[in-house]
Amino acid sequence: MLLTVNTAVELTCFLVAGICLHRDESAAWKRMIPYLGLVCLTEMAGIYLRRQLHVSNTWLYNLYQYVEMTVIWSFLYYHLKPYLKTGKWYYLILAALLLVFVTETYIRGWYVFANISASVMSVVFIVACLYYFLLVIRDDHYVELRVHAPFWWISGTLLYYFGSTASNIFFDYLVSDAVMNLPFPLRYIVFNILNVLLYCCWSYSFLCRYRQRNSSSSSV
Amino acid sequence: MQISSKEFLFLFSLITLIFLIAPLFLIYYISLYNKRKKKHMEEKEELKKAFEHELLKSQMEVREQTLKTIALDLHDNIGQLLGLTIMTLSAINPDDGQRARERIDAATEFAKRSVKEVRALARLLHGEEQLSRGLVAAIATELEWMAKARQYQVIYDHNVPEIPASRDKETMVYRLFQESLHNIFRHARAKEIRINLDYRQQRLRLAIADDGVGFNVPEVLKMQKGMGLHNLHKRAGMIGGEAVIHSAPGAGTEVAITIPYG
Repeated sequence: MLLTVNTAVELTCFLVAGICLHRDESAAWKRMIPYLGLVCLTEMAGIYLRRQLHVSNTWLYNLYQYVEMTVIWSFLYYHLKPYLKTGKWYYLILAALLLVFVTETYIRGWYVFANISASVMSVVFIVACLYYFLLVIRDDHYVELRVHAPFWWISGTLLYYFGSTASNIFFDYLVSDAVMNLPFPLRYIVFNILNVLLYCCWSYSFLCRYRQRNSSSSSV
Repeated sequence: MQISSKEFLFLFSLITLIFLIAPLFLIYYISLYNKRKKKHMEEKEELKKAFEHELLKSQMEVREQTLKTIALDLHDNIGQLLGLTIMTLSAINPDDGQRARERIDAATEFAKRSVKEVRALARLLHGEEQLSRGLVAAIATELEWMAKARQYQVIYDHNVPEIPASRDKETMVYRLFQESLHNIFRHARAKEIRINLDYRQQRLRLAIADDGVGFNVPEVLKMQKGMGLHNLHKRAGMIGGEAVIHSAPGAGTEVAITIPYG
């Protein structure tokens, strides 16, 4: 049973991205298609490892976290770039994130989920999202946010990473036997809700992007 | 103190809920702020359009006023001079050499004065050029014509150093000046008009005072016939300034227009 709420919503988002972005002129937006493909593969492989082979899938999610921090940070930076004077922040923050991740996986090993790196990454992404909102407010130019693709992509990202902060902070306790043996897997439910919110926002942003491209090409 | 797993999960759910609601509120707030930004921009655009419309109206009125002055001058001044020239020339008797020479000299003098008047009129015809020489000069020209046509004692004081050119504001102020003068001609029955143009602390102040019959300002403003006064307030406000009208029955009137300049 590879189809769960998470995989269903991820697959849907992947399909929407494939339809809406495959002809997009921006390479950054186009990169979301292979990234979402990778998300689906990771999720399914994770389920397969745990349910069919009954082995730990933590190393897979640790590996995925490396891709996640690079792709999400790059895409966030892509939206902030027009407002920034220098490009050094991109490399500085990416290097810092990688350093935390490599140090944690080196100390705790690949078979323990790198939740400290996940927390640091979440904080960085939240700050970047909030900074983007600040720039939107301060910008003299008006944009129709209702159909503004970057706004919805960043809103989804903010909801997901802000919402998962508590899960990251209490990760060790949430995966302890005392909590895991409870009748309802709360952490799993929280991540289901967060994933639905994230991929709904992203799918909508891809649709906005598609509409924007079509309306601009038809008006030429 | 140790908490049970169930209590922890309740706490965890609560924190997660708060962490979810907070960004939702933030997104909602930004959307709301953005809507207000749109409204503000639309209002700004409307104000800009209204200003442009009023500016165009002022330019038309300045031209109209110039044409009226020219028509009046053609009729009262140049027309009279040319009429006199014709009369003088037609009265020449070639047999009476001495009288004929005197009349030819007089006709020549009338013709010369007509040419001078026509040249002055030609200058005035370029109504917009008056303002290209600056507000001080434009007001002086207007007063010069007024002094010729009407019986007023005019006192014009100005203390305006080099100020940055702002064509739109100058047009508006000039039109406000014309409007104020027009009000004096129509209603004031004044003998003396004092005009003061002053520039200090990046503010231009134009005061037009008369010793006429005056009026009750609030009363006139309430009535429909106070449209000219409303226009003074409206136009001064459009260029970021204000028009203050001081008047009382029998005590003359002073219109003071102050605008930020530079």
